[in-house]
Amino acid sequence: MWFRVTFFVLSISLLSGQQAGVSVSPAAVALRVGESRTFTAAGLGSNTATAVRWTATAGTISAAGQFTAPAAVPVGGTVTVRATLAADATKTATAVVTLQNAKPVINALAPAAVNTGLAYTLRIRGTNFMPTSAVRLAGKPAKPRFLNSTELEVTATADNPAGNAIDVVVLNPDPGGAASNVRALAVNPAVKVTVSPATATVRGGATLKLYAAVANTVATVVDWHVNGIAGGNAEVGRIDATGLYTAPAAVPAAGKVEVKAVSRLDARAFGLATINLLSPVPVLSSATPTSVKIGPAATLFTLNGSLFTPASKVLLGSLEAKVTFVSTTQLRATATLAPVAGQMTTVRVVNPAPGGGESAPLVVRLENAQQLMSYGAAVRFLEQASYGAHPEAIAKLQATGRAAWLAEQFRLPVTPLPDAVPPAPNMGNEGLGRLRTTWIQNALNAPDQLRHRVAFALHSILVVSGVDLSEHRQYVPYLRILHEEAFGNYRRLLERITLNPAMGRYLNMMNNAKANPARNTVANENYARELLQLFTIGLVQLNPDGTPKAGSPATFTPANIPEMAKVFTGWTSAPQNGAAPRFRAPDNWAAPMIPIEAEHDTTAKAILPGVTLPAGQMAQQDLSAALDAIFNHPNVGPFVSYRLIQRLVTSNPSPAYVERVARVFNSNSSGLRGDLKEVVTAILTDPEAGTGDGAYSELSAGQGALREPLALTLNLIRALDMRSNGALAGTLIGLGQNLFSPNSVFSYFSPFSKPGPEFQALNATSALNTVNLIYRFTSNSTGSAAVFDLTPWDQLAADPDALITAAANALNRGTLPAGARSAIVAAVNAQTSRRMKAITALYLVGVSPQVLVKR
Amino acid sequence: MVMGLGAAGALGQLGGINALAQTNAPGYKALVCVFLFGGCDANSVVIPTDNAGYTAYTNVRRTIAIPQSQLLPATSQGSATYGLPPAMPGLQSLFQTGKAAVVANVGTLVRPLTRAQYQANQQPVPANLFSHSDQQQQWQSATPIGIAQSGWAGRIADQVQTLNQPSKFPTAVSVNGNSLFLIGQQTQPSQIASPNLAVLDQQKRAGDGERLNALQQVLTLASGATLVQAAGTRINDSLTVLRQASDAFATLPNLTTPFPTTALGNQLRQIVRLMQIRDTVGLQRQIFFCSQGGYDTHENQPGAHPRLLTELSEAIAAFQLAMEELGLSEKVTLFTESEFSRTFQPNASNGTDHAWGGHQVVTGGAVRGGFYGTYPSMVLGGADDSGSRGNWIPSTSLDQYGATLARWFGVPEAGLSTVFPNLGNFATANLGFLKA
Repeated sequence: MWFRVTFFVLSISLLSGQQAGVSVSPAAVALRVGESRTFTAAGLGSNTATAVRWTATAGTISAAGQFTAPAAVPVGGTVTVRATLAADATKTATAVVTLQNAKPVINALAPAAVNTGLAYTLRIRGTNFMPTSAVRLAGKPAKPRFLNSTELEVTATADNPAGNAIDVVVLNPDPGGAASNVRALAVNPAVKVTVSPATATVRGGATLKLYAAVANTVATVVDWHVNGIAGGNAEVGRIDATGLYTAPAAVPAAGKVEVKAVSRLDARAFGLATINLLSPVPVLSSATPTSVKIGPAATLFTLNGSLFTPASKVLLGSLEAKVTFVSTTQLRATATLAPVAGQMTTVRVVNPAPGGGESAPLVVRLENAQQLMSYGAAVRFLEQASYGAHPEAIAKLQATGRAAWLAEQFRLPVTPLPDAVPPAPNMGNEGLGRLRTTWIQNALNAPDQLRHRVAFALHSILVVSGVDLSEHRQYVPYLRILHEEAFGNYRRLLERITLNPAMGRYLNMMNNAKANPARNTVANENYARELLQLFTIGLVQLNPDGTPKAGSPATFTPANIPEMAKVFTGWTSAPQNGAAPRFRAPDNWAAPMIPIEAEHDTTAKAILPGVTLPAGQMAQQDLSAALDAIFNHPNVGPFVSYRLIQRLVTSNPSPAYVERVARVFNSNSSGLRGDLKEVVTAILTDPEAGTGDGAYSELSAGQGALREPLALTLNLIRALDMRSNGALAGTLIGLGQNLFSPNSVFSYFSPFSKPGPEFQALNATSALNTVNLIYRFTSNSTGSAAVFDLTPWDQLAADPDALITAAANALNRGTLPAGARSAIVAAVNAQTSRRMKAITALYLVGVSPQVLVKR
Repeated sequence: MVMGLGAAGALGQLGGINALAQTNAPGYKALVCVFLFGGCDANSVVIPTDNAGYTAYTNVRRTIAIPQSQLLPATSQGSATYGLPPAMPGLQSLFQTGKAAVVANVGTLVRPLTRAQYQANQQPVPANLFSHSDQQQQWQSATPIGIAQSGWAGRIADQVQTLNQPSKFPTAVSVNGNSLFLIGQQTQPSQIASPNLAVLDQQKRAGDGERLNALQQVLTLASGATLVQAAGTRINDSLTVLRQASDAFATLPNLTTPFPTTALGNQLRQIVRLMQIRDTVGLQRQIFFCSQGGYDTHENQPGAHPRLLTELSEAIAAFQLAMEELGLSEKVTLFTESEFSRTFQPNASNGTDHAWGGHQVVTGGAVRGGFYGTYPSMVLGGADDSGSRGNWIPSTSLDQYGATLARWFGVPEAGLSTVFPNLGNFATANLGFLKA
């Protein structure tokens, strides 16, 4: 609102000087500078103007008498205007013009508005301003700075509340002192700054554009600060004049920063934004070394990339390295690497939460540093001598070599098997379930790997089946004998097995009575026949190399069997709890059977061609003599050697291989017959086993063995470093092998089956189950039977070629035919996730016949 | 749950086969072998019931003899009558309706043999008599000497393969494990144990099809290594057949005949399913192998044997009812095999030991019911005994038994000697227990 100010206009009298009869009108007048006035003259004898000559002491006057005042008031403040008759210069008259200052006029204010309470500098634009002009702001005098006659500048503080305009008036001084028009200067509310977004989340290294809205003024320039620091810095992030914020790589402890936009017009006016900072996703562009020899020493890696932070972690597979932060583009990491399945790991950088994330992985190839034998040879050896090539076992074997490995295995104590849990009242005896599970767990984890392997091979020859011996307490003493005698002597093993009550029950030697003419019964032939046919000499006379002699002459005649059966009469369970020994004693599964002489057939016995036991021998005498005769039969060496070679190494060993091993069986380094330790050594170190580096790649086309389901399964678990609860017996049945319960004394497979024994169990059902099993294993979907961390494989899947190589390393000694590799590459590349790529590679390598067949 | 990724697809070409097969459907025939592993004591299956015969029987059997009053009358030959043990009423009913025959004292032979010839070693005899494994192989291969590469049912499949063309589905199928019996010289059997094949053609997610393709390539890659090649081929062929069977099982017709839920009952039920898909897979001839184990009764035979025979009898009876339900009674013949019979004389353990010739049973609508062959004399050390304990020398050879089945099945006369190379050594190639 304007309100009027009264100006005092000073009247200036212009006194006229005149001669009598002559006058100028008006005689006195007041004029403002620059104003005009026309004068007339009278009494000079002429009424025509042209007859008069006009002059003025200042300003200008026209011939017609129009006077224009000068621009400034002259000294004295007056101007004399004189009229002189042209015709008579003596005739003159004057008028006095009193001069006054001009009246100022305001045309514009800049700015047109100010903010309440805020100091301001106002530019007043108009006319007639004088160096001595004064200004009133809302009625209060203010001292302007004179710039020129059209511009004044004044500095003040806007005391008015918003909405109450400030009236601006310019005052010119006397003479004629005059006030200008009133101009209203608007008063706005205080300046306000708002930043948007008010809160935001940014990953380290990323940018965020912030906007400052400045209200109540047209002066919208702001200055940006981060945590109070103008423009920010490396620790808190930087912000430029446009509000573009770049987050720091490392998240400050607070996890957030405050960004402030301050009005440059009014420093008290600012807006804030809170920016939550997340760790960046690091970028790893290279890592050296790319190939590492694993030994006891740690490996130093140099990692180059970007967005590393002091909190960045470095993972090698799933192993966390010790990290030195060099810069946001370089880290150093040290780690002591352990062998891993596939001999390949990955390195990646992980930034911690908040935010954070991991870089793409880079592949690091691993190799065991100490190598007395090659990786491939070590894996092959372990597939023959253990239940699978666990990564640690490979490293150890490579470091120690076969001889030291075997020596240690021979020294290791027997991993014990548990006794049966006594049955609860009115409950049956414990079955074989826990025994199977425990045995599998031991086979997977126990250090005496070779013993397990050999014991199972012996079980496959000297069969007792859970089909008939279905109780833990019956079965476990039998198994213990196999484990205890695995590296012992075959003669001693034969005797212990012969007198084992489970075998006694299985093949009916227990409680086998001599012939009873009154009942028309004769001795049970079962054990006699199978001992000869399946455990020792077979049906056909063999050459030392295991081939049948010309014409396949029989080892014994049908007539020998009833005679041999008489040897095995009179044996029964050992007495318990102080009871007297008696025939058909209560079962005593833990102790060897004992003889009851009254039930032993003491007649002479023509047990083998050319071998007759004399009449009158006691049971143990007959037993010892019969077992000696059998054990010393020339067939035993090649017979047992052939079967052990099949179980451990190859389905169709060459006659020369059999003969080399049989020769050791026949006479070890000390001249002793039947030493299984040296037989096993001979089998595993034979050139035909292919476990020496020299012969490593020289297997012939026919060599190898289809893995039996037990070995296939356990090997997969160990090779992929899986954990297992051992509950695999049901799975094995599906694959065609009922652990500890082969169908008959003919065992799981016939040694004569072609193309190899284990093919007997490979049919459509077991083939389907095998394929499915490998899928379930490699996709880690068994629950708890075979569990592993697929994550390292996911990481490798970033590089499909490395992934497939790693799968082949883990499962197939690092070899994979080109045709298989290209097929698998295509399948892996068709998968849409790293996980499915990893599973696909492991599955297809695992199911390839090169893996199913141990070679 | 993902159950792995088995057989690849690409089996869509079956449509054409169906139509062809159905036009020839009336010619369908099937053989079903029930193999009794362990050596079934045939002396306890077919037992003389007339007084003279029973006396001879019980004089030797004594401790393990079945009381005469418990025997189930079944068949006769002349004045001699024979019964079944009380465990076998199901089989008895088939004898009573003329759908069962017994063939007495069948076994592995090279040529006809007498006790004198055997003891004097004057004639070739089967290798490794009394050995389970060898005698199983010989019963399945009809190759009494030497290593057999094929089985006689496999060779029958070879002979009839033109009837099944162009189907790729195997003629010979085992429902319980592998057997030499079904392996042919040209044709290969398969093994389809369960109706639930879960062949897992999960071509649902991206990449599944490519994985199946890769599986097939990996399995069939020419590796140059014998066993690798054999394993890959067998698995791949298996998956292919299973996929085909699985597809066919999806539209399996109903069957109302109940089957005992025993191991053998389940196998015969599975065989019925495989017969029910015969048109879908395009077969006119099928041969099946199933088996029952546990017959190696060295000990406590009176306890173990009846349980086994009950299972056998019930399963066979159910199977015959199913054949009648499906209208296949005249087209399907079931027969037993076992590697050997057992000593007529018991041993000290209330059991019996390995012997030689035994009695086999044949059932079905094509059977001329009754008694065939010659029952042994039941004298220890007598004319029929190869030794002293009643190891009967077979009076009928396996070759004659098998050839009678093969002829009925459609093997041409000229093909019989290919299937049974020693057939010519014996007087007749047709024992007559099957209708023409």
